[in-house]
Amino acid sequence: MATTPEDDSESASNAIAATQQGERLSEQWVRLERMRSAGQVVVLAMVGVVVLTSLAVGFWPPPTWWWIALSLTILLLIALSVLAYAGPALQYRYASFLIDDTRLEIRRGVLWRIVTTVPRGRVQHTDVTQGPLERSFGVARLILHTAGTQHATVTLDGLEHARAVALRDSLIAESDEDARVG
Amino acid sequence: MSDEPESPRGSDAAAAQEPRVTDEQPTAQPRMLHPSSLLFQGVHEARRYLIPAIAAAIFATQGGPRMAVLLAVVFVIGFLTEAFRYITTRYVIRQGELIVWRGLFFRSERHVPTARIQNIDTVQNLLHRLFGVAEVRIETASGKEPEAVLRVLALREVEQLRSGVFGALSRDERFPSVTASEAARPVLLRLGLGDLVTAGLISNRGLLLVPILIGLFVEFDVQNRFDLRRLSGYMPQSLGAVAWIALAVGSVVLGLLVVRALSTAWYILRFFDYRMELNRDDLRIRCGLITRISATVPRRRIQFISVHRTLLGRLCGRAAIRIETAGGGSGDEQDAQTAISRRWFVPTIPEAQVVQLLAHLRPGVAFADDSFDWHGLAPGARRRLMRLALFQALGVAAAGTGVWWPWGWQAGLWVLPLLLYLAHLEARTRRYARTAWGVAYRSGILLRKESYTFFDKVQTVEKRQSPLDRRWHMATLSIDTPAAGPAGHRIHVPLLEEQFAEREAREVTLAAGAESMQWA
Repeated sequence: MATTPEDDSESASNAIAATQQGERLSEQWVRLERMRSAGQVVVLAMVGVVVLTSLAVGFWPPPTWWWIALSLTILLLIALSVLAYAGPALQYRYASFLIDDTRLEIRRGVLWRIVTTVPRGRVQHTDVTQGPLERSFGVARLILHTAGTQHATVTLDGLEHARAVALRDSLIAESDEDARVG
Repeated sequence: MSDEPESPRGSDAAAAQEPRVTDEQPTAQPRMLHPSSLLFQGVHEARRYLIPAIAAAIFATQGGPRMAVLLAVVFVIGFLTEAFRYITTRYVIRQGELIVWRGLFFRSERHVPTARIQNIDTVQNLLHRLFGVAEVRIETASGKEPEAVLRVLALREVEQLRSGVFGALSRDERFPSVTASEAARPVLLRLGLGDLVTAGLISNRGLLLVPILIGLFVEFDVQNRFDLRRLSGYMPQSLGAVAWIALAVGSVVLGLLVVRALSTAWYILRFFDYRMELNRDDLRIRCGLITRISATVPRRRIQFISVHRTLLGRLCGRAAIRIETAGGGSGDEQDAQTAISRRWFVPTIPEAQVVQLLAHLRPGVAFADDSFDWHGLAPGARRRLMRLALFQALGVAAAGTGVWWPWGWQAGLWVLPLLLYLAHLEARTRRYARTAWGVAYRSGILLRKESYTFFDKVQTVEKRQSPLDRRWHMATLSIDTPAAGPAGHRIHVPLLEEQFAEREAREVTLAAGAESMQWA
């Protein structure tokens, strides 16, 4: 089964699978993630301002190392802002999922590219969750629970809420008849 | 791949529809525990509360008669609780369910469908054996705790319980049950004293006992009590270099011998008179010198089989087999039965019998090495590992220079050949194979592990690529199964060819999706 004549057709279908991108996440998710990371950068900036001001007050007039610290902090904040803006777009670019009648396949990761596949029959139960921020963007997270160990839960983040619910319903309909234990 | 397993589809569902209980009257009377339960439950509780009890006793002796009375009251209450628990515990198998009642004021009634019961294990220590009883643990796929513990039952009752639970199940067509004439319980494996001694001699198990010895040494204050310094009086005052070396070598050898002796003792204590029998579709293991343990593993519930071969083991032609079943968690439980039915499933086995035994664990599957279509790592894997070895050697050299300026870098030079050799071995030993029934994976240089899992147990499949992987066009393939852990090995294959990993991830998923999950 692993070798034999089918190999050629298999590599052909493989090429198709490689080009096939699957379904994209919600574009809203990019905005949501940008906002979330921007919030983190702002919090960090505020911490920096507090620390630097108190240091400046404590060592008035500001010594040389204070100026170095200030410029390093500014550089760091600029770098983080760029990352907060560009990161989600990159993640979006490399994230996709594919659902057919046998499996759900999730691709994600910019540096580490991870492809997780769950056969439909192995889905034990599913959750659709939404935080307040996610709700305002109309985005949801689909969580699949399997009986596995390392991947006892598989998360698909950044779906449009309606799509997440639809996916959940289709997965549940399937697992009702297939994933029975006993 | 000549042996195709019979079609697994549908048979389980069909079996589930049938009424399961035939040899059991639906109106079976609830049974009580064995009368000696009172004693054993007491011993169990006492062991749990031993330290508080001792502390209480010490306080009591200091606190005068009033404290002693209080203590006595506590003990009496404890005893009465046990008595109530004993009197009120009932169990019965009725309509495909094991029902256990507990408690007087707070009654609990637990229903466990027999189809969900994974194992029924028993433990018998010396006291149990005196009374002809055993502690029974009933495990299902959920959680780490046994679903029910019956402390204690007479051996005859244990047999009835076993046949009541598993006997009703054995007509699953996937694992054709043995006909009545064959039901003489073929012994699949028996370990004699010689096997255990060999296993102990090639095992480092005894090292685990060394901390205990040290603990005892400190605890009993041996040093001060016996004044070891006097020993130096017996030593010759001036020793030559040769004598010192001889002394050092001698003590190392002595230490090794002690460790090996401890290992051997441990093996004999735990696995004396080990035998694995096939009872219908259940594997029954019994072993132990003082505490007799018996574990039952329905073989359809084996999810993962792992054969471990240490370096010494390979030289002596011995292996060990671990399995994983859905019951119990991935935690490192030291519970005796759990260990027996998973980690110490087969503690030692002659190499010549491995393939034969494996075939019994999963009927219809050939485990001989040439029945696998082994795939090695990607062609560039060896070069990549060697390059990594080079970087490691550079690291060692840098560290060495830091420690001993300027000649420390030589350390890197010394370890380089070793690291390169290890990289070479590593690239050669890792292998992966997909078959008609599942996947097989081998890894490890000194301790070689070879594991098998089956498509009906596969939960998720993952292909992962690090930035370096992408540069080398490689990928890591991982396959997840339930309750992984006790076997100490995972199907996690690094450094595969990118295209191959992609194809395997898809094929394994498809094959897994085509089989409905069988784990109960």
